[in-house]
Amino acid sequence: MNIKSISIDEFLQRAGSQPNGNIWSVLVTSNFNHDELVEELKEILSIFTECEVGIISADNEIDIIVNEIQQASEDYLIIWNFEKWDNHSWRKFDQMRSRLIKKRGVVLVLLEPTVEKMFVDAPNIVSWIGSRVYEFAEGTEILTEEERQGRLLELQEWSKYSNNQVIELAKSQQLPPDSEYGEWLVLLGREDLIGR
Amino acid sequence: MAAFEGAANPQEAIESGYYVRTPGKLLAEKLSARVALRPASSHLLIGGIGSGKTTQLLVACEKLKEIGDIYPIYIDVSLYTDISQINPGVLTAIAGLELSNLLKDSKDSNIQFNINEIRKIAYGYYEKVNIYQSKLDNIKQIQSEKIKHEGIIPPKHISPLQKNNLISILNKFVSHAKNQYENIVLLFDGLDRLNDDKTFPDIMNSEIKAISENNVGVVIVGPLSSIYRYNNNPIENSLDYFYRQPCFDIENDPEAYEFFVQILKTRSQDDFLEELAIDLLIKFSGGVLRDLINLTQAVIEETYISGDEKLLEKYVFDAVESFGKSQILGISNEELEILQNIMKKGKFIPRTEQDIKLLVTRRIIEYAYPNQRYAVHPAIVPIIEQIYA
Repeated sequence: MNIKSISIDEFLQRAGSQPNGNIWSVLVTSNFNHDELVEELKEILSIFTECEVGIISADNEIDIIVNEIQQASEDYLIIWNFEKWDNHSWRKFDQMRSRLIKKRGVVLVLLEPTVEKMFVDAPNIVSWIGSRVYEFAEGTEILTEEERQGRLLELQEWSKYSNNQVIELAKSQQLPPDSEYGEWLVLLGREDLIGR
Repeated sequence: MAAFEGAANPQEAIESGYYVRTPGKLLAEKLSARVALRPASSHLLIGGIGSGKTTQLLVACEKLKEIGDIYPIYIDVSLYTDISQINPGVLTAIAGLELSNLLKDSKDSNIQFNINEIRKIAYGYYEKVNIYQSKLDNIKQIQSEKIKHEGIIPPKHISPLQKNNLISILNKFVSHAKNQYENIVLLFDGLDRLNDDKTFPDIMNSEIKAISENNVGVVIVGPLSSIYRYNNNPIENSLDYFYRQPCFDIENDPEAYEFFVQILKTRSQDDFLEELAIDLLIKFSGGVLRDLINLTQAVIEETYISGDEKLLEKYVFDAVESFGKSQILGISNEELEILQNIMKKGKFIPRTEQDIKLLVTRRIIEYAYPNQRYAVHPAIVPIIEQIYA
């Protein structure tokens, strides 16, 4: 598939840079067992998007799924499990677009053949998505040690704090709310301090 | 709301001050001026996805409110019902429900009776039925049962009796509402997403005319495909007035180009967008409003990821490449050939279902300045050139 391939880290950075608004993205995976990816994504996305993230399985009637999306209290949703959807399902979902507006956004996790179906039969949803269709580059989700150190340096330069200072601030619950600090703690392996 | 958010609610964009007046005679102005002269007239608006139809409808609605003796009601039909199964009758029921909201405090018992009736027809109701058993001379009630009568929202088959009843109730509502609200105009949005070839003409021919005959103004947004599919009975002639909202010809129309510049400048900080980046964003948007907004947001993301503070030309090319690649997903080889042909010859006459599909999904864009012409979306042109290189 000839679309932009990105690591999970880059996707998270992009999601974190997006403003508040109904921003839709697509993450295309070739891995049929992507439930782990979805769970992992939920956990980290809430740090980067600074909001509650919900998961909705699309393995259900369209009316029920649309209702779940409307009723979801979370501002950002991960929707997955589209494999059983046929052309009719995508058309119906597309026609219900007005009911799908979320405060922060939505990421659709799709397998390769499914994303093509969406582009054929859901033109209104596609017009929301624009260029935000990314192939999930599996195996590149973890930064190399060099990349990790590089990003830590960038964060130190940006904030003027050291790694230890950030940990101390998190422990004393004085860390500013910016999503970069969440990313910083993840890079230091101290996710346990997030949300304190 | 965020400044560059292609999926934003158009009402919020207007309220956030992001609305920029379109060049020339505004569609919303034409529409509202005609409604002001003939409040009970009917209007059909057709345009492609992301061309700004809802925004124009909302602006028209605001203008009509300013007129004074006109009471416009904006209705997104897809919020009421599943439009994939919509039948003639549903819009009349929705119109009745909207009018019953206006009349809900009426002391008139007939009106209250009809409000109840319209809700029953629309959403269905349960009826308690007693079941009797006869034994010799004795008739004895043995139990009572609740029977469900289905409503037409969500869509179910509507009987001729229900249809006549609906029209009669609507007529009573309109007569009553006119005392307080004078001229009522219903603006139906959302039916542009219908994609079968029968439902929309059915709705136009039976229902919209019936609502309009009740002395109610009607404005309806229809699917782009409908103007290409019914050559024998053109949809343009179904109602009193017809409007097209084509894409903006930013290549040939200087006013359209300037309009797009103003959109970007209204939404961005002073010097964040470089002149060259603005020019490229406009060029690659193809004159599709939503694509301009989405592309700009994508370029902002590219800039953020790179750590730069200015939106530079190279990030526009990155975003355009991603956009172009994603937009050709699901395209067949035959469709690619159609696109390549347009690029080579510059000519296109939409005839087949494939042609219409390429227009609806805005891989082909239609312009009307000064004359009608078609072009392949500029963001996918480089991708197709690469494929055929």
